[in-house]
Order: sequence, then structure tokens, then C-alpha cells
Amino acid sequence: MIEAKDLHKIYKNGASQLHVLKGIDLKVEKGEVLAVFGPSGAGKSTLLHLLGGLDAPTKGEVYINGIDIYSMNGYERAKLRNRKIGFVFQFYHLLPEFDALENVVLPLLIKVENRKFRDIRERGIEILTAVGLNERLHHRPNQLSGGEQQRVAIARALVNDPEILLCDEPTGNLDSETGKQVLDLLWNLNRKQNLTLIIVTHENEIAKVAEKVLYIKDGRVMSAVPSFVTSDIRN
Amino acid sequence: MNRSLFSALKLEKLAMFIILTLIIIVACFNIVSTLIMVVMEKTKDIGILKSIGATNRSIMAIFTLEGFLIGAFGTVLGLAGGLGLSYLLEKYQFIQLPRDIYYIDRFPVDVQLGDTAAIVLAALIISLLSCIYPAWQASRLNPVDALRYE
Repeated sequence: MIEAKDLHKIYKNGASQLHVLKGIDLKVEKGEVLAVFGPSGAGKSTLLHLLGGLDAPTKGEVYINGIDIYSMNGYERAKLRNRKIGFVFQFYHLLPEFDALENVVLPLLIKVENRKFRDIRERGIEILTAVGLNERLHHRPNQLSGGEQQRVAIARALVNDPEILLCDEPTGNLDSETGKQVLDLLWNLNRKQNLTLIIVTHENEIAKVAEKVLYIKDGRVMSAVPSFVTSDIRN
Repeated sequence: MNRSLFSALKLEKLAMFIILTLIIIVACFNIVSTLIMVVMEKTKDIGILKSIGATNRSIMAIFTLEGFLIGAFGTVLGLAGGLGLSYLLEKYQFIQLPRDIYYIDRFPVDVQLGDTAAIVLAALIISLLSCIYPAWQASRLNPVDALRYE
């Protein structure tokens, strides 16, 4: 359902060029979990942004449900991001002036679909309850703990019932206990709602659950996954 | 007769026009730079909005609206100030004119609806035009750059 073909990304900075991705191919079916590993600077985040239609590849294509998303215009791609894709970032990226509920309903407000404010509010409360934050509806991000902020961010990513969740080191900023809770939440979503997950991570824990593991180094997919990842999987 | 007086008035009018134009240009730059600051401050938020599906058009609309509201607020303040001052001037006539130069000894006040409307409209249009560049810049921000780590 999501497929990348020969993805290249080159960043130009004046005269110097940075070849971040050098031909990435991948394919993830509906309901699968793909874990993307690799050292920092390997191009993992760039790959995730390209898969989610946030950036434009220098070369190559990304297909979501068989449609090349970079043949669409910017407006259609924004609509796709709004409805089919949910992003979860390492640093949560919540809007600081808004409370948890307002942050969560933003994608619904952007969707503009003759929905009543009451329905939008109810949906926001429903999804925040599902991530266990029904007591925190009117707290602002700076009044929430890291784990809570990340759960708000996940709720926001889910509020429009996306098909794919793209997570960029979702537990990278959390202690291991809170990180585990966030991961449990993600696994539950995957199992119960058949949500496709692509997770960029450093944590071997995630590789145990993922159907597919991609190891990226210097912008290329390495066929041999290093032992520190696989040894954990086999245990 | 009175030719020299009229040519002096004409020159005065030109000078006034130039000064007012300069004031308006300065005010425009103020709006533009304030909005550019706002856009820079909100760079990350723009990236977030784009990642959850906001279109370039809606980002542009947000910042145009913000600038326009600032402009409208300023226009209302200016209108109230100007009309208030005119009213006080008419009532208390505190600006005196030298009798030997002019035929009247008090500064005359004549508030005309048409003039007032034209000024309000011009102020609103100018503030709207000043918003376009910063808002356009905001809409073109690359979300990936905007979200780059803190």
C-alpha cells in the first residue's frame, strides 16, 4: 500500500551537495509494521518525510495505494497528508498556545467538511480518551509530561483515521518506562485497527514486533542488518 | 490677485502630500517587518500545520488575516483619534492663526464623510497589501526545514 522506488534526495547548499538518500526501495502492506534503523545522519528522517509527502524527492517515486504522490499538486498532497497520513515526531511538535483538545482537533478543522463544532469536539475527546488522557483535555503542552505530550501527538495523528502512521523516533525523548507505554499504544493501534506503522527508531524493542526491518546506512538500504538489532529479534 | 497666496498653498499641499506618503511608506514597512517577525517566530508551527495537512493557501490566509486584523485595529484607532481630535478642535478652537496672513483666526474643521471613508478604505487596502509578501513567504516555507530539530 505504500511503496518507494529508487528514492534519491540531494540537498544543495550553495556549491556543496549532500546526497542523503541514494536509491531507497521499500514496500509496506496494509497493517504491517516497518522499523527503520540506522546511525544518525543516515537519512532515516528524510526518508520518512518523503514517504509522508512532506518533502520532494530529487529522484524516484512514492506510491500510496498505487498513486504516485509526487505527481499530485501541493494542494492534493496536503489533503492526502490530512486524511491518509499521521505524523508522530520525536519532539512531539504540539502547538504551545493550544490545549490538548485543541491540538488534537486541528486536523479535523483543517479537513473542512461541514462538520459541526460539537462533533469535532466529541471526536477529539473520544480520541484523547482512547490514549488515556481524558483528564488532561484542557492542559497546555507545557503542563503535560513528555509521555503525555507524545500521546496527545499520537491522538492528533489519529484523529482523521489515517491509513499510515509515520513515527520519527517516537520514544527518542522519553524514559524507557514512558517509552514502553507509547509503544504499547502503537502496537495496540496496529493490532486493533490494522494501522500501518513505519517507525524510525534506535530501539531494538521495536524490531522485535516489526514485520519488516530496514537498516539504512549512508543513504542506502543495507541487506545485512547488524547483529545488535537482530540478536535482540532472535531472543 | 492673490496669485502668490494660491501658489504658496499649492506648494504646501504638495509638501503635505509628500510627507504623508512617506509616513504611509514607513507604516507599511512597519507592518511588513512585524509580520516577517511573526512568521519567523511561528516557523515551527507552520511546519506542524503543514504536516497535518494545511495547504499553502490556508497558511497564506492565516497570516494575511493576522496582518489585516492588525491593520484594521490600527485603522479603528486612527479613525477614533482623528475624529476625536477634529471634534475637540472644532469645539475649543485651540489652534490660532495669525490674522495678518489668513482671513480667519481659527483653524477651521470640516469633517467630510467621503474623505473619511476614502482614508479608512485606503488604510485597510494598504495594510492588506503589506501582508501579502510576509504571508506568501510563510506559505512557501518547506515544512521539513520548519520542523528541523530544536
